[in-house]
Amino acid sequence: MSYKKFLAISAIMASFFIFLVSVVMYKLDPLFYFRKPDLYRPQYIATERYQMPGFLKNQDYDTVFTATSMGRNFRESYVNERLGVKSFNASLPASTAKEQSMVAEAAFRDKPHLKRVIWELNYFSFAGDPDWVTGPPSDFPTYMYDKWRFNDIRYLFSSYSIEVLYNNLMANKAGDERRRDIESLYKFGQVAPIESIDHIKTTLKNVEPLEQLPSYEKSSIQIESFKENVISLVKAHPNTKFTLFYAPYPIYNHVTFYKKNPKYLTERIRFKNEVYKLAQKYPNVELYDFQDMRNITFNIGNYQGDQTHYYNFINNWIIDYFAKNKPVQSEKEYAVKLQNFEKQITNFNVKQLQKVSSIKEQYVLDN
Amino acid sequence: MLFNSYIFIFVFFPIVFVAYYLLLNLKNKSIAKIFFVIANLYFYSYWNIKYLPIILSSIAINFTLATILNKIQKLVIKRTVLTIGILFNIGLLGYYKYYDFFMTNVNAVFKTDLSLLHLALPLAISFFTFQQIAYLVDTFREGTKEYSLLDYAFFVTFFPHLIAGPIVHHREIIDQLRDGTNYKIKLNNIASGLYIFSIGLFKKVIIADTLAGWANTGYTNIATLTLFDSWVTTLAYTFQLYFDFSGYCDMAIGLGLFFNIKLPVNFNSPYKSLDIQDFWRRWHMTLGRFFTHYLYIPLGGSRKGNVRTYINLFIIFFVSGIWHGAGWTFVIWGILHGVASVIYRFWSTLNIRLPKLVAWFITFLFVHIAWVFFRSPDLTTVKLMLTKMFSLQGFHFPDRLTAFFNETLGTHFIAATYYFDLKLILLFAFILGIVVFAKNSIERLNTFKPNYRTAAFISLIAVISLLYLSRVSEFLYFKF
Repeated sequence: MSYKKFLAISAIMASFFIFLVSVVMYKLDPLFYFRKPDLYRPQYIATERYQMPGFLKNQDYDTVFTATSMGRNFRESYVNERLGVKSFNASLPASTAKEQSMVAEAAFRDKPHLKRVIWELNYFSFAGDPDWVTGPPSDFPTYMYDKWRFNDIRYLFSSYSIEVLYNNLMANKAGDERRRDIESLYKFGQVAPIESIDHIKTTLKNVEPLEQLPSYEKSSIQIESFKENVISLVKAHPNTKFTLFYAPYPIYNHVTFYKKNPKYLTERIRFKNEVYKLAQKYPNVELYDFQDMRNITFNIGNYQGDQTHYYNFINNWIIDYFAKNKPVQSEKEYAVKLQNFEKQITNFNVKQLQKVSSIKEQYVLDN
Repeated sequence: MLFNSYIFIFVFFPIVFVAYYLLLNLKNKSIAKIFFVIANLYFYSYWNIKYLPIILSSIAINFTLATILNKIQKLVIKRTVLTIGILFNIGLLGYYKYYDFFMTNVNAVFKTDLSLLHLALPLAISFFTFQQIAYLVDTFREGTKEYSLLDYAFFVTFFPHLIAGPIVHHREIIDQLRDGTNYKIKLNNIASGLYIFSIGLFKKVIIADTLAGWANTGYTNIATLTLFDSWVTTLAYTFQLYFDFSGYCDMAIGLGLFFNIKLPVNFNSPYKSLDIQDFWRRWHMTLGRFFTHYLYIPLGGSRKGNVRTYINLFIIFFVSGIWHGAGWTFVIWGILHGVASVIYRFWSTLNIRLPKLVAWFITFLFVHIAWVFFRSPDLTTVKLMLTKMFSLQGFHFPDRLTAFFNETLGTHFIAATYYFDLKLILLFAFILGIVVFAKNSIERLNTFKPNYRTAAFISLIAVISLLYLSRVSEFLYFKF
């Protein structure tokens, strides 16, 4: 055989093998990306970033959540009942603004008449280049969220897809009933450690000061990302309501950053101010800020022991707040809120914290 | 950019391949070479653009010194220039690679608080520094007047060998680069290159990265390992390193062939070795060649009596240990190989021949144990792992055997809770069989014939490897 023929035959054979694997994977669709599951019972074992594009395409909704883990516990059935919508929660833990924006874009692509986007604004998400997405090991599969179809080959021709398919089929064979229900799939906190005053005291005592604020924590960097990822979508979809909100982190979380370097607070308040100024230019945007709401953020009974996340009943409380209360109405009102927020942090004392269960009881939810 | 990545295989490499041969059609061949050097520098900077000035200044300074060496006649001045050149290269390597290690030890010994640099190690610095030292020494010895800066930059930055070797001799690359017959596509080289590149890709992506899973898990959970698990962990690493490095070498050779450049063989079934000297003739062969030509022989080699030979032998392995990494684990690894080589040298004078199997077993066991030092992040881990491997306290029988002994003999053994599956023994026995008895990829390349069976074979292994590219991981030798 000539070398030329050898190379041609090798190329044809390799192309054939790739085509064969891709066709089989297209038909079996392990992440249920091309269609709703019909060939076998789905078990949703893939990580969120891989599983979400299929859900965004094939679920029925008119309202989508795009958020970090602070938004993961919004239960769709509760949201639908209280807000009178058909929602889907596409929150991704530790997601960057670009990832959240790609989630929203994917939702718009498949649901052109999307009524509402509920978007959590998180300093972390905006602290980087506007195109920043998560890298390995939990990398963000951009090719599954974008509009291009040709790069779906990376999904069709991937060992990860085969692994997911194999595990799904094995789970079906073994009768494993875990991870079958989409609504409860990514909810968390049921077995979280309980927060305590001692734990908070120790953490605050051990905060190591940071001499210089990292450049990506500057409000100018974060605003760039906000403009490119949020405002661009707001402009492109004037008939969709964008509900932006700052999640009620526990007050001691903010204090931790303030103790590291007071500039964190300065930059964050600057960011909030700028975001409001930009957002109020568009009639389809509303903004809620829960971070100065003392009844929530000073009550350690609302929080898990990781000094960050609240329990799922706070997600329900937020939904009720959306339903019953108006967003920020004016620059003046927001300035007062921000002043209040700043004072809460600068004048913080652990003794101000309390542990009451009124909200928890009101929502009668186990955590 | 990694050889085992989508961006390399589907974007960088095809673009460079097509553009290089298209540009070679021009009358002025320098344009193609300039393009290739730029592509090499892009390949290098893809990890971190900060490294680029380091390699550029290293090339510029070494070439300037070589030009001076080529011009001057007086031996004293030539020696001075050569010394400056060697000091510059060693200084560069020392500053980036060893400064913090040295200072940490100074601080520990003298209870001082001298600050560290915390510099990221520039990629491939150990490789391009050695190649350029060799170039300066050869220029001093025999002159290299015929080289242009472009040829020289091509030789240093040629991307198939740039990051992790082989450590090539300048003539090996530049002579082939200047050979006019290499300016056109040679289908036999492309076919051979594709053949060995596919084998290398499979070794790395499928075999080495799978073994890495067990090795990393074991080293991360060292405290919970039983005696059996510790051997699984360390054997997984011993084989991982073999397939990782040989896979990389195969891919480098394959890529070189695509551009009609034959790179030297760097790996020749080292685990088939029957003694430690044989092992070093088969493992990282070009590093051994460098040390022999530019350290061992200048030190006197074996010409100055037995004691001096032993010392010289020990020195090259000691330096080799330090070259591999700035840490005590690497230093001790080098010392172990140095001592073993000296012992073997002495042993070989006694003319006592061990049975082949015994000789192989001793060599493999020694190399395997020495890899524990190579892999461990610190000496505490080494101690812990070796204790696990050789302490019978960590030995427990499997479930069924324990039950059998307890029932029939009335013993009170406790069944082992193994971290790893016992079936891995079978897999490792199979892998050992391959590395010891099978023909290696270079032997296969030498007998390579284009036919349907080979086409099906490489298509299949290439496609399987591509399927697993999503779990991208770096080559182990990239950090040296």
